[in-house]
Amino acid sequence: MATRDDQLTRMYEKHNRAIRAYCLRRIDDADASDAVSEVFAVARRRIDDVPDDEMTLPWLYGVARRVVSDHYRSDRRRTRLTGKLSSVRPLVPTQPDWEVVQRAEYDQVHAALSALREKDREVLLLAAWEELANDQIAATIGCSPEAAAQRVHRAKKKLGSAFRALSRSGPPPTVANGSERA
Amino acid sequence: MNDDKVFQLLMETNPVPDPDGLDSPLALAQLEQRSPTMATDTQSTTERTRIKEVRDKNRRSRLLVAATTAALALIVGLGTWAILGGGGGGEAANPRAAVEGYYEASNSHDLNAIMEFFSEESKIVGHPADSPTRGTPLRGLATIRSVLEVQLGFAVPVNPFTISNVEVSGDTVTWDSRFSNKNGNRFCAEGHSAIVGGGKILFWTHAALQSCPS
Repeated sequence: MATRDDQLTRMYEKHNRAIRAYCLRRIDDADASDAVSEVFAVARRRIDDVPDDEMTLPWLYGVARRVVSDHYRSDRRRTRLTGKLSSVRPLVPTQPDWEVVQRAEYDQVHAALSALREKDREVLLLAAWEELANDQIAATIGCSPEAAAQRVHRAKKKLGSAFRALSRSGPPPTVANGSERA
Repeated sequence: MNDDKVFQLLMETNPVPDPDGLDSPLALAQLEQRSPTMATDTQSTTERTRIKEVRDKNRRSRLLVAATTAALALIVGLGTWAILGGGGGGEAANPRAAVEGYYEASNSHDLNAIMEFFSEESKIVGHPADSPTRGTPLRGLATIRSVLEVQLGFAVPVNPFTISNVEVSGDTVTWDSRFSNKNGNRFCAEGHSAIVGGGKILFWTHAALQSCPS
């Protein structure tokens, strides 16, 4: 019979990269390493509560969400999501003219995202970056799959509206001002 | 642009698109570079403030010199200013020489010569050719070389860089640059800032690359 440590080891081997990626997308490297340790420490303490199979990862995301949230609340360790969002990567190496346009679009979508409520941002990023299905998002944030589907749908519409509003009012300030982070 | 396209754009900005590749040497190197990224917003603000301070300071210095040229004490002061940053020549002129030398080497398409202006401690923030780790500071000779190699590929062989508004204050140089690509499109980057030491560019905050105003 597998011990709890065996169970935890298997869980870690299977999911640590996904949890690490989740943390790295939201907080800096040093804090992300701490956060990953914290997530699996919680999993160890609550091993009896961890669901099986495909719901394990969403459950871990839910723990990571709270751990990252605690990091945000800590002024000393605080890292703004907008700072993280600036670390975007293009799909392919590009010519500079294309890259300028692409950067402007990425800046604009980040500006639109920043204009949304935290709850909307959260479900959007779970769908966009963690690529979770609605039932997994539901397990992560603690709601029904139907409610998660509605929240994602509404958040996408809000993001689109905010993006188009920025298009009408001009590029985001970072581009217009010619900062280093265009 | 419809909602789905905007969402697709958001997906493309995923800072860690391949969690399974996190243990690869390349990913580890990129994450290593990313460490200071979290401070980049603050850093950029600091750098922007510094650019403004340097330019304001130089502007004030020039006004002062123009108003008191006849006074011997200020003539001495003017000489000192020239040595420190405005006039070139001497050890103190190295910050400007390093930046100019970098662009001369770039326009000569000589990557080895370009790299002479960097050290293992050098960092570049916001270089437009920094595709794989966009927005993260580039650190060290190998990383900087790999990114500048991309730059040589798309810009320099056809059209040279020109720089303008070069100003020096102590170890800090600020300047603007421009170039055209092979399609004839003109690109401007206004507000570079670099800290130079020992003839090496130690910390370069690259200005945003934008289409030049027509």
